[in-house]
Amino acid sequence: MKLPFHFLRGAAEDRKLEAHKALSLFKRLTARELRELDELLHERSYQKDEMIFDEGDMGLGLFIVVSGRVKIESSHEALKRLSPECGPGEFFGEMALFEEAQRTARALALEPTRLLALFRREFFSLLEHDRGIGVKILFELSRIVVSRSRKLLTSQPHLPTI
Amino acid sequence: MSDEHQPGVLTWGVIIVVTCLILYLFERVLWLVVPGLLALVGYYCLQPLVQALVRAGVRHQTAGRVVAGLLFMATVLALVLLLSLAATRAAGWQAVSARYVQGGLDFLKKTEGALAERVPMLERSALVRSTPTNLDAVAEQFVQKYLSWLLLQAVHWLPSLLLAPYLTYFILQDGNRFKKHLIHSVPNAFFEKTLLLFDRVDTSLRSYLVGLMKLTFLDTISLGLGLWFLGVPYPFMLGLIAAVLAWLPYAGSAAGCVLVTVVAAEYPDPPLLTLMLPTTVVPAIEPAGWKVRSVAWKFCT
Repeated sequence: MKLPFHFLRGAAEDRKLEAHKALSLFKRLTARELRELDELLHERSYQKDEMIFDEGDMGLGLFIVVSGRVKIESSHEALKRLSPECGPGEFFGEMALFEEAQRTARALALEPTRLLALFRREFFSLLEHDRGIGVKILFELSRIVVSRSRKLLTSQPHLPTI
Repeated sequence: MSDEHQPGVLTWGVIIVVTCLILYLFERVLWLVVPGLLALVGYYCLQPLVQALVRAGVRHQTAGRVVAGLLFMATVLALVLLLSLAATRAAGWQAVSARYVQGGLDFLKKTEGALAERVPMLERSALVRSTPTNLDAVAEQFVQKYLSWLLLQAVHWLPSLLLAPYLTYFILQDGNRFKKHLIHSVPNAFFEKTLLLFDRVDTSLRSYLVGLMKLTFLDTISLGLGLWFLGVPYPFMLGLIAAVLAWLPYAGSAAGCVLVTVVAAEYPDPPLLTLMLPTTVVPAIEPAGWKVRSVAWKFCT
């Protein structure tokens, strides 16, 4: 049951939630779910050519590009050949959301870039408390990862799974 | 095994000096540290309620205000009830305290007598000879001297303790935002490591403090039931005092154990005392026993 407290929301918060809603990963979330998710998202800004993470670093979370561009470089053949880039709305580092393993690629900001980070442990605590949000995000994440895998298999120059 | 990573004399020296400095500083600002710790306990216990309200559609800040408001009202209500109770039953409490002190001293005298009977050498010892014979006067003097001091201390700490719900409100309201600001101020190179550090500190604190509250609840219930079964007045209040004392490592558990033993000594019926032991003394000393076992386990492994 929803309580009638929505009129108390601030305009700035509404704008932020609308920006989140525009991201492909969160497009299925309701305003209430976005508000809950917003508590867990960390906004980061990177300068041009600044490294976001390096290959071999321990992966702890997923990054979503809000603005700017990010280049993915890797010593792995498939990724090296494709040399993918991420633009606004796209995400990278998603493997860290599922397993505590080393990053398989390096991420570099190609221009001044704003990112949202979703930390694995915080995402798991959200899954424990509100599975509805988790299911929606995981469904969208799986859909995009499957689409990328298909493109990788058919060797199309688009972002593969990192 | 190489010992190159073992802390040396200098490291231990620095650790001891820093610990002493922290204890000195904490002692100076104890009026703020105690409500701060209580506020942290309140935050971790009430956060699930805030999250439930947020899931029901309430904005986070509103949910924080509602829950902190409820906590403040509960605190004020508890204080008003306690003060009104104290005003009407202060004389009774003094009599009860005197009775317990008397019982404790009687217990001490009997224990010393029994020990002296078994070990004749103790009969000549200074400890047995120094035990006062006029126990009524000692008990009366003890209550007059220390009960008023305890009441004065309680009144002295009252404004400081009222800070706890106020601080809880701010932590509930802005704790997450403050944490995000702190993480935001960290250079990008350390961002993920800082997230992990904050998460580990948060998880450890939550587990410890929420676990402590659950243990306090269980101790209060078991102690209260044991004392109530004996017909002791204010059983759950005494149980709560012993359970709260157990928050202090080792010394608190020992103090709780002494409190329970003094009360138990007033009711020397053997079957009842036997029945009471598992419900009162064991929970009172259990945390200390658990800690000793944990430390011993660490040393062994």
